[in-house]
Amino acid sequence: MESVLQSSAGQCGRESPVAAPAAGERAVRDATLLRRMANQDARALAELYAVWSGPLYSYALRTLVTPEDAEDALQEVFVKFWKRAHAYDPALGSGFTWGWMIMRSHCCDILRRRGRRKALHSGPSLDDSGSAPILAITGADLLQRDEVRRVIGALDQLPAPERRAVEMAVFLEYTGEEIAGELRQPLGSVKSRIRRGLIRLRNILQRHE
Amino acid sequence: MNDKEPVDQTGLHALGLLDERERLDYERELAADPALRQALRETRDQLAAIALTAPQVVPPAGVWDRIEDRLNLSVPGARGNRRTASRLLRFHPAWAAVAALAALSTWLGVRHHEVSARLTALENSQAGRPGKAGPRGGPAPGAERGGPRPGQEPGDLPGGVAQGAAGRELQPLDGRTMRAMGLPASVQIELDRLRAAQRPGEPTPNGVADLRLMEMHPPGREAPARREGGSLVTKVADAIAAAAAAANPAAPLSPTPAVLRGQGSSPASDIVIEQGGTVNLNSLNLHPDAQVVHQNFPADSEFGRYGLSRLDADRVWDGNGGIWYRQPDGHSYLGQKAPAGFHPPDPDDPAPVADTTLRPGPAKPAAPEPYAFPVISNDGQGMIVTQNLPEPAPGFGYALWSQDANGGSPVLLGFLPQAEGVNGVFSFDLPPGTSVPGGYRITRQILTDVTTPGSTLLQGP
Repeated sequence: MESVLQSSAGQCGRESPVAAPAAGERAVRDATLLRRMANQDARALAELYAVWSGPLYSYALRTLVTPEDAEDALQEVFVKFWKRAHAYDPALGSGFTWGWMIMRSHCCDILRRRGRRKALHSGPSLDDSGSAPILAITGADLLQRDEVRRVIGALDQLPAPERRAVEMAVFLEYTGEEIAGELRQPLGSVKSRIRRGLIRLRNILQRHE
Repeated sequence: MNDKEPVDQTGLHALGLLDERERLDYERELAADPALRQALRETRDQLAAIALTAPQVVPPAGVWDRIEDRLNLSVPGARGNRRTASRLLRFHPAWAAVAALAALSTWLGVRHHEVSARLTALENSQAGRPGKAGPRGGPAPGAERGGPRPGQEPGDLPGGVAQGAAGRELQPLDGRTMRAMGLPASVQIELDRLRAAQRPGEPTPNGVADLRLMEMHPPGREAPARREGGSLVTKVADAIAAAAAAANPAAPLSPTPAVLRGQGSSPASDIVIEQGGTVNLNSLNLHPDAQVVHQNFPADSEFGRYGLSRLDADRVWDGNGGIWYRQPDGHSYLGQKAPAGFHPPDPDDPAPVADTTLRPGPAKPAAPEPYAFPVISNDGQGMIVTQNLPEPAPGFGYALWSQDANGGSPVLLGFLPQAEGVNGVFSFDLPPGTSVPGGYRITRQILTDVTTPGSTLLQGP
């Protein structure tokens, strides 16, 4: 998970928005674990589980709401990681982002099957400003506490409508139409909010590098 | 800003929010523009970073085991209800063993009521840095009976750090005692039979199922490289279990141990008994919202075998403070602790119990006494065992602070993971330059507040 914090600076002439001092090391670790998994090293999967399961489970829980669904999702994506590790290409992005995208896709499928409304209305609700309070940071995850705090700090600087729209898209897996319906805004406005929010977020994080 | 430029559509594309025409346009640009591809990679990283801001929750025990089962894998040391595999593989074996054993003793006291473990230091040679016992609730229950040794101050750990230990295995001394060798810590474990004998038909608790080891660090500071040591904990647990069996030859349970699924440690984790006898509900560290369900309750003809007695058509007394309520399906029973004031039937008086007040319902056990049990090594690495901390309020967690002996400002050592903090073993490191702690404090803490201790739950030397 920490590999999301890896820096890709230099590749396009700007700093990665969430670079961290140990980011490169974590990215190498994740890539190494995935390579070992591709070579059928089961212990590498266990090690990857140790560092990714917390944030991926937390994301799944936030998105799918019920612990049972989140546990199932976690199980399923780690099975996928094992089977697809050979397909991971470090040149195309960090290991954690690769893993998170698989989890996100899986959550999307589940939500699509069961209907999306439940996540918004019965889940760990976003507060009025759309913020996501951190309830706890688990042991190994403390390694990235500062980075998480940076992102939260950047999210806090977004205008509330932009932040809410971004978080609905990221955590609740809403389509543009669904966000528009929920926020009672035209679809074009919602897309603009998300677009501007992400650009603003990137700029804030770059400024605080 | 012109937010219709392809690079500015990147976020929407990464979120799957472009319509078909926009997506095709974007992907055409993407194929031709390496910088755009890089921007997409960075945006995905950014979104993944946002995902990390979700409230952090540790996945429940057993998910890893299910993954192993699905893939038909077996990773030595990774299995066994650990929350996360490698967290168990990363702890400080020297004093971690002491703390882990303390936790084990607690577990044994709670879950394996056939025996309890007593921890006794063989030596305490590292002057000036004795471990400190927890305050309220005192040291680990199993340790209490060891009593202070000569030169040991009240409140000091019953365990200490020994020198000159040789060998790398646990060394059984006799049927009731063993030593953990090959560590800076040398720990003697004594196993005693408890008065409450285990009833036939009860399950044998599953090893170290309740033992969790996790790392805890000061904010922003990574831990030094850990030496793998999870297997040691397993060895300790296995050795304790073996010693327990040796000390209690009648311990192997009969006639049919209950076959359990689930931990009962969370609202979502009921304990399901698939077959066999009942469990002693009072021996379980059961979450108030978790249930114990016996899916194939013994037939009346088997009641004598399992020590059961029927109260009425729908209720069965298990002889251990538990009443089992028949469920609508007719064959499964829900176990609940008997209400206060309930008097079980006298076996010599078969008259029916004149109690019409008993009804199935949520039985909230009294909140157990919280305690914490910190240990610190000579090089500033520490571990704390926590038990029975109440669930923190939403938005709050528990933070561990050290306090130097001269009354200086408290130093935040880290946060206990929310899901694990109520019962667990956590390692921490003293920040560089921090003096030897004169005491510790566990506070209820807003996690974004890392400067001022919140309200104190536990404190002590």
